This record gives sequence, structure tokens and C-alpha cells, in this order.
Amino acid sequence: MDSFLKDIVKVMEPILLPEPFDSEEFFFQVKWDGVRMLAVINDGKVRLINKHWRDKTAQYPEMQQLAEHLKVKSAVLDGEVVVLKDGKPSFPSVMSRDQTSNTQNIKYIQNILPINYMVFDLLYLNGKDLRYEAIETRQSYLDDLVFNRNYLHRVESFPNGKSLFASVEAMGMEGIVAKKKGTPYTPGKHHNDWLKVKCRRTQLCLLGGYTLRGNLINSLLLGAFRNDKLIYIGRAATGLTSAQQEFLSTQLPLLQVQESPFVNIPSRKKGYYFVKPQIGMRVDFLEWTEDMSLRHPVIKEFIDFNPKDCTIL
Amino acid sequence: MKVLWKGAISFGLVNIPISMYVATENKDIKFNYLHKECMSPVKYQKFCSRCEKEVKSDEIVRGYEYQKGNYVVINQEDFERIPQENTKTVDILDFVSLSQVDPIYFDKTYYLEPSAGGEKAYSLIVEAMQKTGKIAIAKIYIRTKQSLAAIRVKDNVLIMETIFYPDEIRSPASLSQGLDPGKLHDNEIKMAVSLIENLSTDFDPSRYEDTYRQALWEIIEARIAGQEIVTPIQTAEKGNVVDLMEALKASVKLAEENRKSTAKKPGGTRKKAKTGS
Repeated sequence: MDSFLKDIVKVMEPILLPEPFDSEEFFFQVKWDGVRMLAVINDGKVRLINKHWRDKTAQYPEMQQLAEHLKVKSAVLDGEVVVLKDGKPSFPSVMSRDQTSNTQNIKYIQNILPINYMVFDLLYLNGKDLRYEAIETRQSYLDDLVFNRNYLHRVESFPNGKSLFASVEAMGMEGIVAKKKGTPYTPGKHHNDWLKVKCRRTQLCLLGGYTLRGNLINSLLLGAFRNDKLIYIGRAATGLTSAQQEFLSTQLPLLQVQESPFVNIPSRKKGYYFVKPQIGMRVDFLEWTEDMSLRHPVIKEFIDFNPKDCTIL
Repeated sequence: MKVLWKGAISFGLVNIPISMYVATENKDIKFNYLHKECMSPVKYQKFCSRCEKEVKSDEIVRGYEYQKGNYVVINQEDFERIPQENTKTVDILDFVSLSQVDPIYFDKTYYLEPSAGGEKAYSLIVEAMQKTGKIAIAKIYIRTKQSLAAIRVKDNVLIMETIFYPDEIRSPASLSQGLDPGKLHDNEIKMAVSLIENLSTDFDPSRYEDTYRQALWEIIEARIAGQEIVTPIQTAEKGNVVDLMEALKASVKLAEENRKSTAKKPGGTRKKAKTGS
């Protein structure tokens, strides 16, 4: 087992594609929005390793049940740890779990943000290295091994990519992964066997400030509420029409305040100008980054401001 | 566990690549200072005592106070002038018996794990140290810091204790009262010895726990539980993956039925056209 782990040191990562597709050579799975996690079961103990190859065993004590539930001597499972918020996977929530390291605080947060382990692959079983087996073989071993429980779920496969993508998008989930039949588990990104397509998602934000280029607005500072506090979650430089940009460039300086409205940005931050958060926006983005900001935010429209709507789920 | 740093043990002609981890953790409960009025965390500012204003990091230099109120400035170039041997190495100097090292020397404990390519040399040194029953005394270099360390084997893992240099150990001679034994009666000694014998047992650390921390944590837990009632945002999630999956599957099924029926339509009209002709 130790030599196996030293040999792989990376998880297999899907390659980004712009559009969903249908193909007989592939099957399709939901891309669960969480943190990637290998569960290494050995002699009744479970060790968790994330995609940066850091040990995360302490963060998710509920995963220790796996050893007993799967009744195996040794196994390495690949999957995603997911936390739901309002019935949907929430990356910010799983990050709260992932970044809690104090044992007592873990005990507390465990009850508020319970996890789900969404298992999609099996790399090792009872002394046997399964990486070079075809994915269908690994999936069938997994079917015999993993039975759904409150925290443990087998990621299901669908035959069509386009219809799955449409549904996933409609439900506001992260995206899909296409997996090519007959292929081995290839750690890293040097392969064409796993392909991901991501949905753009929406966050309602409050405009909390701006940056300038010359006299014109360069980007808008985005905020959203979390536990009743306004958090800075990135800045958007695209999506404004030139008319909007000119209008904001004349109006926003009039609303300027000294104090930063964000709890996580100091008032003195260089080049940042702050306004009272009273303008709401719908912002599209690709995904949450690990340091909790929006990747590729695009301003879609200005909306009637209701602070309750501008909350991070 | 987080890797603290990666480096190598150098032992004779052998270099063993290793990763180092902190082996112990302090579990004292930490508190943040909050401003009573608004419950926001209190921030520490670097403040000049003379100019009465905040100073930024590029306005700060390091001074050594050689006499009360008198400083000499030591700048980055001065630090760089000190010759540094290989950084990030653990240089084994000697092998000694553990019993010769008094626990007063031990400072912090780290685990050393072999990195790729170092496994064999690592297990070789572990085996040899187990056979001889010796521990290694080594110098470690981490960035600009140099310290002394003792390396020993426990459960087939190399454990490194940083140890103090002799001039860092205070002498008991400077205890304020001094040690004056006075006269001891044989009976007193006998009683003390039998008391020790009665309390003697094997060392089992799991028998001891920090009861103060436990009690403090109970208070904190109770306070958190109390707060749950006033902040609804902290309630546990009720949705579950099974419901989500059912909704998704229903949606996929609907999408596929729609597609089939739209795909059928052109076929249907073609048929009609055929029969019509």
C-alpha cells in the first residue's frame, strides 16, 4: 500500500472542454462541487489525502466509518467530499470544513456542515493495484463495494452528456465529467480520457467599491453576505457596457466612503475605493477559488438590492 | 500533517532526502480579543512610539539594543554576510546513548519521513540505529537558523528533537533560595521512599488529561449551543444527496423524452408525406 501511494502521488484530473457532447465511447457523471479526496483504507484505519497530496484525515472524522462499512482489508477510493447548503453542493461550505483544524472546532462544525463522500473510482483493492484495469472493471468492483449510506454515495453514470449537462446547469450545479470507456487511471492531466464541462454559475453580489484606470472605472469590488457579514469575493472587470462604465465613473465617486464595507479588506488598501453597499448585481462566474473568491466573474445586470439575496450559499 | 520543510540528512557520504513534520501540538484553547462595543476582532498595529503614527513594513529596520535606549541597526546585508553552510540539511555529527542526554536539553519534536529516492538509505539508518541502540546528534540548518538536534528511532520512524546548546540551559545554582538540605531523619526518608513505591506504576500517558481545558471547552460548547438559537444561519443542513440525485434523474429523463419526441416529429411528417403522395 505504501509503495502504491508513493507511486501515484497525483489524482487523475479531467481536462476542460468548452461544450458538452454525446458519444458512445464515453459515459457521463455529475461533477460534484467539493474537495477531491482519496480515501486510503488499511487495517481498519482510513487516511484521507487531497489533490495537493496533503493529509486531511483529521478534518473529516466521519470518514473513519468507511473502514467498517466497506469490510475490506485495504482499498483506495477516489471521490469528492461535498457539503450541501439549501440542498445544493456548496464549495464555500466545504471549504469551511476543510480549513477547520482545531479538534474541538471540527467536532462542532461536523454537526452543522455534515459531509457526503461522492465516490467515483477505485484504485486499489485488497492488495491489488487496479489503476491499469479498464474504467468499467473498476466501476464494477466499486458497485460491489460501495452501498449508499447517509454520508457515502456512489457517483452514478449517464449515457448522454448533453441532457445531463442541461439538467445539471438548470439545477445550478458545477458541471459534468465525461469518462472514456476502456481507459486506465492516469494520474495528472496528460491524457484525454476524462473531460469536464463546467456550467457558469450565478452569485448575487453587492457593489462595495471600485478600482480606477485613469478617470474610468476599471473594476467593481464584489461582496456577498456570509453569517451576516459582507465578504469581499473578488472584482469584476468584464460585463459592463461602455455607457454603464462612463455612468458609473461619474456616479460612484459621489458615493465614496472612507471605511471599507468588507470585513476582509482593510480601509487603507491601496488603489481600492469604497462605496456604501447599496447596489445589487447579478454576476456570472466559473467557480469558487480555494481562497473564496469568484473565478472569471462577469457582471450580467444590476438588480433591485435585497441583502438577503446577496448571500453566499 | 503539514510538511514543515523538505531537506536532507547528511550522514557520511550518504544524503537522505526527507520531509519534516511537527510531531506535537499544543491544544490550549485560544481566544481572540474583541472590541466589546461591536464584537470585531482587535487588530495590532505597528506604531511608532515617537512619531505617534502607524509604520508600514518598509519603514521598519532591525535594531539591537546594546544599552538601554541605544540601538545599532543590523540590516539585511549584514545578515547575508554571515557565511551559511548548506541550508535545509541535517548534518549528523556523532552517535551517543540516549541515557546520556538529560531531558532538560529537549526542545521541540519533529518526525522525519523519507522523500522519493531516500527510502532505502532511510531504512538502513533506522535499522543500524536500532541495532546499536544509539541516537544521533546532528546540526540542522533551516534558513538562517542553526540548531542542535538528537535523532532517535521510534516505531521505525526517525524522530528529531531539537536540543538546546549548553549555554542556553540555566544553571540551578541561580535558584534564589539555594539548596540547603538540613538534617534528614532515617524515618523521614523511609516514609518518603515507601510513599514513592506505593505510587509507582508503568507510565501510561492516556491516564492523564487536561481537566482545565475540558472544563473550559464545556463552557464554550454550551455558549455555542445557546447561540445557535439566535443565529439561524448556523442550523444544520436538511437537504440530502439522495433527494438531489432523484431531482436530477427526473430532469434528465424529461430532457431525453423531450429530445426523443422532437426527434420523432420530423420522422413522423416524412411518413405522412410519403403516404400522402
